[in-house]
Amino acid sequence: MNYIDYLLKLDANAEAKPNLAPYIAVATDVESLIAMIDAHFMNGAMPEVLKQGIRDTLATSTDPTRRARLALYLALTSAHYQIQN
Amino acid sequence: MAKFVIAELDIHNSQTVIVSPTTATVSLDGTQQFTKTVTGATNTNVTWAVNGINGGNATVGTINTSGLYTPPAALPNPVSVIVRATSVANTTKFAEATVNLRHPTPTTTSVEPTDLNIGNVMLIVKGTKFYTGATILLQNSAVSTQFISSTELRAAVSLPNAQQYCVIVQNPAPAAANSSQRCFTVRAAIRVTTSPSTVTLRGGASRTFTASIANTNTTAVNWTVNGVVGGNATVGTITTAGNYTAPMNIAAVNGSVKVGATSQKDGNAKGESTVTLQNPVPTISSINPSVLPLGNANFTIVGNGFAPGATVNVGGSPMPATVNSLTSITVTGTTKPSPGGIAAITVANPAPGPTTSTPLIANIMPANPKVSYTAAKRFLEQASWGASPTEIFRVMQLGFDDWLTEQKNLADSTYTMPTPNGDIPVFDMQSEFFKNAMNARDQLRQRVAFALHKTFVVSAVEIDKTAGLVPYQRLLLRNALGSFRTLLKDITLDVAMGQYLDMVDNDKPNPAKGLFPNENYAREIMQLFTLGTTFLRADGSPLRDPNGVPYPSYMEADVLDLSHVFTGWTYPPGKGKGSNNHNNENYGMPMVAVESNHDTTMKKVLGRTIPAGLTTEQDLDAALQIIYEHPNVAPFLSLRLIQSMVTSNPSAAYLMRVNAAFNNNGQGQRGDLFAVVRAVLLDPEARAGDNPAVPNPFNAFAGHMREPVLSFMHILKGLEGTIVQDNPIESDLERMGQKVFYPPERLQLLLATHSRARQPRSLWA
Amino acid sequence: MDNFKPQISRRALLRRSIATTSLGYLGVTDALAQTGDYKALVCVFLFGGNDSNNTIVPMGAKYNDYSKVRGPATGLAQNVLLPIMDRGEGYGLHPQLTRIQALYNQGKASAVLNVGPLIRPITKTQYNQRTAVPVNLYSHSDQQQAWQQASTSGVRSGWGGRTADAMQAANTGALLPMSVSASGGALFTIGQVTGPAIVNGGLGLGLSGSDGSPTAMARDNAFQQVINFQSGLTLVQAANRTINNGIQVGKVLNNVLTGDDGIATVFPGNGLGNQLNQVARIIRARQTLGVSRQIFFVSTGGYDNHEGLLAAHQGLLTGLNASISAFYDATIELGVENNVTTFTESDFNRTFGPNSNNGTDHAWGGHHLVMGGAVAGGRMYGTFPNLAIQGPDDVGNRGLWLPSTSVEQYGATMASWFGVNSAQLDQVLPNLMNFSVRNLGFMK
Repeated sequence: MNYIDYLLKLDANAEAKPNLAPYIAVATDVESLIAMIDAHFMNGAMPEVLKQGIRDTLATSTDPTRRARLALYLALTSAHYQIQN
Repeated sequence: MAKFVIAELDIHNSQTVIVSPTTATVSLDGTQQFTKTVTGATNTNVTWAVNGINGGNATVGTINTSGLYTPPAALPNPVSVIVRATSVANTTKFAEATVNLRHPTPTTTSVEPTDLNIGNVMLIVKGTKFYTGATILLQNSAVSTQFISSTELRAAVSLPNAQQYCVIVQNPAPAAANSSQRCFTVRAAIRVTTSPSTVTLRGGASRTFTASIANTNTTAVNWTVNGVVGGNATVGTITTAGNYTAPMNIAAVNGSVKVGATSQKDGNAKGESTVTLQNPVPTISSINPSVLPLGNANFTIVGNGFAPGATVNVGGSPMPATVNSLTSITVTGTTKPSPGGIAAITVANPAPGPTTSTPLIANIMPANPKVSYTAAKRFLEQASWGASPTEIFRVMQLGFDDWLTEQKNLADSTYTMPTPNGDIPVFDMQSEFFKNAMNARDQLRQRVAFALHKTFVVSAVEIDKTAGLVPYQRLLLRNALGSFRTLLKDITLDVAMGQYLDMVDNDKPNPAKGLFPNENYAREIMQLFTLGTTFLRADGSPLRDPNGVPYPSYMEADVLDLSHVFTGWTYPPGKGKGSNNHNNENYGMPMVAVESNHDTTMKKVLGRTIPAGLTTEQDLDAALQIIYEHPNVAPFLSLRLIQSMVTSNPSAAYLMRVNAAFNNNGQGQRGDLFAVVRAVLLDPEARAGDNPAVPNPFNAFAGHMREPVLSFMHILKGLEGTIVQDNPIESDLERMGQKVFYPPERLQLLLATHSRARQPRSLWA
Repeated sequence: MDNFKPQISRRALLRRSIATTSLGYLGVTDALAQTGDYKALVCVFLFGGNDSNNTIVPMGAKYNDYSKVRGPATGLAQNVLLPIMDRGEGYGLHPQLTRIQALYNQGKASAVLNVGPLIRPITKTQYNQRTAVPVNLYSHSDQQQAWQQASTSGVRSGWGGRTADAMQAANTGALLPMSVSASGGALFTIGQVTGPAIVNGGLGLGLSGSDGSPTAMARDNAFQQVINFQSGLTLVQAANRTINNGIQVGKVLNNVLTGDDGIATVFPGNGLGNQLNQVARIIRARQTLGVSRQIFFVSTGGYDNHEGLLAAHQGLLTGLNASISAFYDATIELGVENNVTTFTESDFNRTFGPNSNNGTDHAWGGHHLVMGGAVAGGRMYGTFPNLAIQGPDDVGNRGLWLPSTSVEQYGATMASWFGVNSAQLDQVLPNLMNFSVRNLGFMK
């Protein structure tokens, strides 16, 4: 799962660059960030415990980039994501 | 000057009148008691007169019958009067006294105004016993004094210094005395300062200023903005309490204003603060229309605080915008696909004080989508390297079937072929794999080729020359959506496969040397590529004997005879060379037959006979056809494609439906891989779950764990990532246990690694 | 970055410490601590099917039986073989197995002859009648499973894992599962109750980004919270357990594997050498980890030599000799050379008769090496096959040896030494009851 952490931190010069801009753009609004990740990565079925975990974690940072990375990290490392349904 | 008057003596009548005192000085506010002494007569009464007027009058003063003199209100002229007492008994007898009148001593009760500052002022001295002509002495110097009344005097004076000043009032002469002095303090000029002195404030924001006033007890001020009391809409407004609200449009005042406080007592006493204005924080209240179309879009943002030059960002990407007013922006441009169809819209005001609005969360949706976002996303994770928002929207617009057809007709992505006799590192080819996966459009083809490569393994563990690996990957891509029968022959005659499973230079038996044909490809084409070890029913389950032992799908004798079929093939000849018995290692073309190395005896394969005397290629075609027609092929291949693309645990019914597509593509053709892939992807079991609201009837074991390559690609693709050519992603995946192009030798531990096979419960529960 | 050569990119990535943990199924049991004696079994799996016909070769009179089939293209010359004696007969080890020869002659190494998967002892006639023939002989994946599984009941567990099941109490309180695989989620290490820790590539197993900052801690807390959540989805649960156990084990092993360079013995830089180096490091930390019994799985590949056998095999056995002898040296360094037993497994032996590519194909019974101070070495065990093509031991026509010893017997001998009692042995190795000899005697 550490590659996800790595992936989400790739910078502009790296060889593989994810586009986090849409997530960073909503990251001031935690619920919208969760809704976006849920809709895009988890078929709208993100479990409440994961949502709460994201909320708790995002409460520790206001930086939108950091928030976007943290939320994506938690969602994408969860078993709910690792199993492709 | 007192005169002692002695009444004349009347000798005959010795009556006398004496008045005492004979002189007196009397202030106008005083009285004087005179006494008379009458001698020589019985009747001692006298009549009192002032200046010959009995009882006096208002001009000269009055005197009553008891001899009490009361002066007049003002000094008479002359200021001395004569009081005469005349005997009643003998009116010729009288006595006189002289009364010298004078102004009394004035008193002061106050000096006004109080709370004085240096400068000119009309000084008002209040008190009593002021008489016309009274003079104010300021610092003992007479100043021009205006008599107002007996109780008030005024004088316009200059008070140049901050110090104590004293005044004295002097009545005109003759006067008793001056008043005592009355002192007051004069302070320096009034000063007003405002706080804070400089402030940076956004348009629309408020700030309360305070004024502090020195040298006076009068603290009231008037608040102004740019000199206008109370301000106005252009410069901003300020309350009497000093609360300033900046205007939204800061350009109209060139970015700064002065907030002032003026002493109400002294209009010249004024403090001022400088307010540097910044653009307001824009706020978005709505957009119109509320759901944005995908692609060409024209919409209005309604809100407030939109500064000239404000920019708009939709879903993290800028869009062209025109600011109509503080409250309206028109956006015209192309919306991009956004994760979840959710996009944050923000308005950013430029400098000064550039700032961005709180996002408004909007939806971007293509018009008339054929499938839902979730359905498209699920579908793409099965059919491609992952679901980027861009591709999701494409599927939503096209629908599954049209998307599949579009994919089928896209050109193959490719790999760079090394120059003849040259080689490039496998690492570069791995880089190309990831670049293709991320950037190339033929996603379905690549994904199927990847699935096929997991079955039709050529591993770089052994074949580490890209000259051999590149043609093999191209072959898989070329055939991925084509005919399985063609694929089977192409991989069989591929040089890399020939090396990997030892069909190249596999010669007919040599009894003299005790040499046998190499069994490797013969075994693995059946075991690994087409049949598996056990005879399968159509639903993919093993066919068992009455004791429950599965029937083998082939016997050792089949392997042996097939190894004879696959004799006689060698490397393609190098440039300009003819075919030798065994050609040198060479790539880029299929293997070639050398008839003299081929065993032409009769073979029996899977219960069917291949007659003696056929050519090398005829034998091979005959054997491949026998294998291809084996009933195991459909369930064997279908299961692998389903597992690689959709679910580890398909139901028997699902597998059978895909088998049917393998056996007949709808036009009577067997082995059409596009039809098989289409059946895999469009099966109701694959599509169950597209609507999250509807429970998946196959839920318990639906889906599969994302293997490392897929997990990585799904995330990167899902994040609309991009990849450059020379990427070391392979290094990451290698550490996750999946090295692209290096499948472990001969599928070692197939069941214990990434594939969960069909028994998740026993292994995982 | 774009212009990095691939090799530099790899190093750059290593510097970034992207430890990608490979997390298999780790059924960590909550064992409770106990210290005392220590024993370890180390399975070295030779993937692809080692040609043991060229690993142990008869010398003297029987050499001719060998050379007339193998010939110079696929056979070894007698004068390069490394002589060893067994019960009065002369044999030769492959010329690269120099250290094995030395250990053999010191009584620290042995070989067990003609071992293979069997359900029960069968004859060639029974084979031809397909009576009690194990399924899918000659298939790599099936025979790799068969060797690791040592059971025909189709269970999804290996005999190493079941040995760990039986011995759980010995590691009460341990911080690490008894089974450790340095080579993926090997079936050998998966028990019915216990599972292995999987170590990988010498890299740390912790979570990256866990830098102790409040945000990182919040992230990890949420991570833990989510993992602990039980969902209704079977696969999701299983994956959660995998990750959770992986993190626990990872925290323990991180220090052991990366914390110091405590092993002085130099290991060869090949894959097997690296794996065995990790095993040695873990053994060194056995007291910290609270383990008194350990079962390791390491592997190396490339043995499927259908062509060019001689050259390929020479390279493979060079690496094998260097790696396992370095490991033996490390056990001396750690003072556990009498407590650690190393043994080989492989898919199958290869055909005695060569093919037209100077290679050999898939066969059945083969010889296996056992090494360690607890081995009753200096001799071999079991019966050397009759090398005649289509002879009494050939179930085909190319020299496919019918095993005379089963994997069950091979495993049971070591499991007994390890401490598994006789009753438990029948649980660990369900088919052992079909064999009269339950202990081959090669362990002291």
